Amino acid sequence: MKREQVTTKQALFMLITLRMTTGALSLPVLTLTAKGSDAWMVPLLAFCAALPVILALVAIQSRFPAETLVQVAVRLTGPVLGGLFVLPVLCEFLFRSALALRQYADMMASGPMPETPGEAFIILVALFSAYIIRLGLEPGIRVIEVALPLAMLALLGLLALGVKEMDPKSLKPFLGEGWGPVLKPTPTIATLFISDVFPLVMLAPRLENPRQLVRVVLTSVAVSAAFIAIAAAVAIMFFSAPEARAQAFPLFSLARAITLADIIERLDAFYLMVITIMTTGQSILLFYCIAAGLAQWLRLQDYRPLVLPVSMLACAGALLLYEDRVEVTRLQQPQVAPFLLLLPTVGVMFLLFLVAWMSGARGKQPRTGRAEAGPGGENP
Amino acid sequence: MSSGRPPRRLLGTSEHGGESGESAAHARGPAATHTGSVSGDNPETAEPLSGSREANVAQIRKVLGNPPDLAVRELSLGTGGQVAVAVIALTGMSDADVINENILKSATLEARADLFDAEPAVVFDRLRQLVLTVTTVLQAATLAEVADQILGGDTAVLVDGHPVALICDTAGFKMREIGEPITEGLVRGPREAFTENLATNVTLLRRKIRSPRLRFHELRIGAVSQTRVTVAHIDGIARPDIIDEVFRRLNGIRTDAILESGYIEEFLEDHPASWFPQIDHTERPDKVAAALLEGRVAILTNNTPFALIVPTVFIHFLQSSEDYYERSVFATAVRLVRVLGIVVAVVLPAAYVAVITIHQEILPLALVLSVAGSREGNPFPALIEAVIMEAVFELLREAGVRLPRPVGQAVSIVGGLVIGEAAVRAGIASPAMVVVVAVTGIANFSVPAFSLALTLRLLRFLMMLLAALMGIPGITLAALAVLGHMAALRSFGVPYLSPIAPARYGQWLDVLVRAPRWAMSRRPAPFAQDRVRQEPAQKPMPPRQNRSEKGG
Repeated sequence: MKREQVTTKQALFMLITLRMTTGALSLPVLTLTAKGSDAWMVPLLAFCAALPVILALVAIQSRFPAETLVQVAVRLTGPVLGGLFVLPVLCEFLFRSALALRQYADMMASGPMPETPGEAFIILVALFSAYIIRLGLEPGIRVIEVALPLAMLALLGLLALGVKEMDPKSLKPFLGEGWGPVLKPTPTIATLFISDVFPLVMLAPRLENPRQLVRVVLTSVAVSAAFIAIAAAVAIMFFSAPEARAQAFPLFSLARAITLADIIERLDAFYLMVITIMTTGQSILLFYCIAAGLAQWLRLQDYRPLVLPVSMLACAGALLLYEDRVEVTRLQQPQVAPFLLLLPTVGVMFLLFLVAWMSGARGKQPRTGRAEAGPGGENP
Repeated sequence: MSSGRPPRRLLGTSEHGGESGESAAHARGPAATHTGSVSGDNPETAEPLSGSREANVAQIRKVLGNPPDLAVRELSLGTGGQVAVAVIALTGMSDADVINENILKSATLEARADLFDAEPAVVFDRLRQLVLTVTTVLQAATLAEVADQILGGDTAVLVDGHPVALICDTAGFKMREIGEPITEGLVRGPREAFTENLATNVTLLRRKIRSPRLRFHELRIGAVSQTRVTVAHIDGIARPDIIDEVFRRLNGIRTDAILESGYIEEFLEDHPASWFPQIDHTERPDKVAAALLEGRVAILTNNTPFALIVPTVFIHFLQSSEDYYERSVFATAVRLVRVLGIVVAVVLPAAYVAVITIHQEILPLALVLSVAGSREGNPFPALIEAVIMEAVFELLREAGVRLPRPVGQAVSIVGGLVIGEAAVRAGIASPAMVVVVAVTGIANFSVPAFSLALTLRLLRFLMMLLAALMGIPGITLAALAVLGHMAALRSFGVPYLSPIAPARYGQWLDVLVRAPRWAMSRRPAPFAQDRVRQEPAQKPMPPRQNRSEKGG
């Protein structure tokens, strides 16, 4: 398989994309917080709560700098037993990509294009994402590298345009109900942060500079937490806490409510642009993780032939995932989300580390130098 | 038209000197490969020349097909006229004055001298050293070489009894004067353009870069056409691996003829199926010189005024020579306008379709009502309307280009006005659609590179289709797919989106913004071996004032 490399900046953009998509789409911090006025604090607390687990994940990954989780599992336990470690992780990635596609389709059906069947959005986004990642990991990441900053700027601009309509009093009373309503959803949000970092187990070996891994991860989670906190605060100030909490897609509703002078009546089309970029970016990365993981497990030379089948599986998953959005809220409850999202990922990783520690296995060292040497390859 | 006598076509560089007495076969330099040749076509021509002048002349006639413009002049030299010599040239390809003055006259003036009363080999040497007064005299020992040189406009001199021919540099024929660039006009900048003559083009470059490090390597490509192709680069600046790759790809071309640089371009691209141009072409010597100074490699082809430049990345198609002749602030502003032009050219019709079909709510009510009113009675959906109007516009543009210039302009203008007005009156298109098509067409012309403008024209239709299906998200998806495709492209190994993605922020001084010259002290990393362009910290400052002069 061709060895493709990821720069530090690209890795940062990747991780932000993974987190921001869900954050910008459904803003679960609002729906999960009983008293919405303090919801903006949840991501900041979740960041602190997730930090130890994230650092532990990074530490374990750093012991195997040249290998993905799948490669480590297969090397330590063989292809058959390794499947027990590999499959839950890949299924988790599939679940997340299906969820992102479905939420995107739900959002589209909720207002902008109610007459178009959701299947059309799911299939089109999946196909375009598959096309891009089939071109290679590097092109996929370059797309994110170019598009994500534009999308983030557009999103921040959107939030800024709502300033006139915002009422800071909506954020009061500060901790009126105490810490309880704020701490309650924190595990779920922390779980989301951790699970969003988890695709690193497939991507970290591609890092050009593995020593930057900790910095990249912490920066990405901090940026994401800060953005979600700001977005939640803006939504609360714009709509008031109870109304914001009732919105399925608060930022989309915000975009629909903003008017830009007398030129553009509603800005929801721009929000659709942003969210399409983010959902596609997330699908690109998750499809890569699944296809590359499968290829490594099955010892295939190239992951690309698996991309299209993986995207179709994600489409099927997205269509069958749930009946209505109430189920999503149920999945996000603190009693469910950590087990659902962390057991097949972090749990497997810790278990694998235990196996490695007991067997005394050590990680392979990363290759040095640029993999893309050749005519015209970029100078380092 | 001028009767140009181009410089010696075996270019005198440090690699290949082209000095008198050098074998014509060896004069092409180490890197050059004889890709297809006269000898390659016919095994007979690979034979060495015989000692018989008559037999050699007959063979040459046979090899060349006894063409009507083949002139063979027989001379008898020596006190008794005992040495028979034949002078052979193609009349249209060679300079008759040079042949008459420097070969025939020189030889006949000494015709009866005892200079030629010697063995044929001695006569041959004396002719070369004492009689022929042309700049360059080479030797050729095979029929293929002789035929090849004659076809290039040189004159062969055969001495009876000696199996080697003298090849005199007499190439010269009518050619176009150096004129202004037709496809790349500028307000400020040099007014000269390449011509169809390779030697002239090489000279134009030499005049711009007077350095011994400027290197030219000549190749012949095309088994039948034997087209001369010259690769130019600056030693020490261009990366050796890229130069090697250029030669590897050029040497790999196996075809019968190269009639224009476009033929070569298609053989050299990294991704031939892509819609995006991956090799830049220009008729401006200043643009080629600037590219060489960046570390890129130029490929000049005989009989075409367009030079190819490799490697080429996407941002090169946004740049114009004039960007570097105007002050940086204005150059930046113009470049941003061009970027806007690209976005408008690709997205505007699609955005119109998306807004009219799906996202009407984003427009102010007054505008929605106005557009809706103008579309009243229009039987077609917005997509069909847009496709029809865009197709008509493309037809008009194509007709305008192909027709003779005065008629073409009339057809473009009258056709645009009349058909637009008629389409609106007939209810086929709305006035808003006509405005959209017109603005799109103008925006497309703001793209400096014609090859990229062609790509944008095609992309527009893809965008419109997805806009009709999915509105703004459809346009976004199409844009992401195009971006992904571009991100996967490479030109001679250099990422096509470089330095935007992978992002090399240090090189963004000449991407969307054109920084002042004193700030661009380094050459672009993907191309240059030696990245230092100039001394840093050359920002101009006003002269230091005395204390007494301050104020006021």
